[in-house]
Amino acid sequence: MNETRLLELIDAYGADPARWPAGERAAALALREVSSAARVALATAADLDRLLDAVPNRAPSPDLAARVLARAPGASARRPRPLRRAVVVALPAAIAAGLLVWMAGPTTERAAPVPIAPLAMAVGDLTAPTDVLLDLSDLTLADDPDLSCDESAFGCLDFDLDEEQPRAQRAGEASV
Amino acid sequence: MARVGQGDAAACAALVHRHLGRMVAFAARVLGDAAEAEDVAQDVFERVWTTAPRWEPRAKLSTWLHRVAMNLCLDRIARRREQALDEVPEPLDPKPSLLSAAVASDLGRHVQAALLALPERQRLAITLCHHQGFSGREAAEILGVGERALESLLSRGRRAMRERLRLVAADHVEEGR
Repeated sequence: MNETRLLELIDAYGADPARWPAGERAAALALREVSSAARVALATAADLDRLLDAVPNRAPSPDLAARVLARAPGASARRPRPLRRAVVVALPAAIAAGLLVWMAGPTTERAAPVPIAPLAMAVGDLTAPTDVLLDLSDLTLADDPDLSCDESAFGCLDFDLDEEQPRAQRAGEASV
Repeated sequence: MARVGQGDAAACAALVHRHLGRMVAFAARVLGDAAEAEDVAQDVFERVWTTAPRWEPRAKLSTWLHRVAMNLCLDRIARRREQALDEVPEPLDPKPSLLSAAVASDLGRHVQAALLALPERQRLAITLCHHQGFSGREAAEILGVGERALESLLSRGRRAMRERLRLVAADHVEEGR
């Protein structure tokens, strides 16, 4: 340790020996007592130290710690989740309530299977729609063979196997 | 840190309680902006939460925290500089306003302004050693320089501040005696 080094230490670290490097502190303190240049340097450095102490110390906002901790590992698992909890409770309850309403509801709302056997008995031996109509009028095709369609009276279509167009249509075309 | 990595709520709370204030104070002195300082502190703890599960104690935790905070501050200062280059500077008012006079009368703010006017590494060196209480060796480690280089940063920074504050210091130090 010499005076030059002591002045370097004061110039860099200031007047407080606690800030000086631990390994050089004792020697620097000893030299400080006998160096007039060091005393001047110490006074100047102490002034600046005091000014540096005046720099305001910003304290964190009151809620900053909570905001920081909200992102900490495991915080999401510890944090209450109202929506998830509501779904977990409400969903089974809603299913159970739905089942109860369905079981206690009026039986008429549940569609019963249509009985097929009674309808079949009412139809009897009738197997075709034509048979049903004839049965209602007590007529049979065998009793009145003329009951077939008459082309002159009803304009029934009469297909000629040799010609593809019906006769009635051909007559209409001729008159035009 | 191991307990923090395992999601131990008490360990996380203790870590925040011990270091959050120092992080905010450090960033505020380096950046000169309280809101930005809180953003930096939050970002530092984001790094803590993600790093904790694989934390290897190569350095003191406080040293590592300050290094992270320092880098985040330097990123913000660099972004400010880029924005300032893009913006057209407003003409300076030749007469100081009442507001600036009031600010100038506040010693702490005046010293803070002088600190903010220093080059970043000088400002960081002074803040780490004087305000955050790190030894020269620890501050040099955070800054990634040797101890002699740190002392050079400190000396130049202190001299520049002394020059800036010379007139103000004379008034206030005399009042303090």
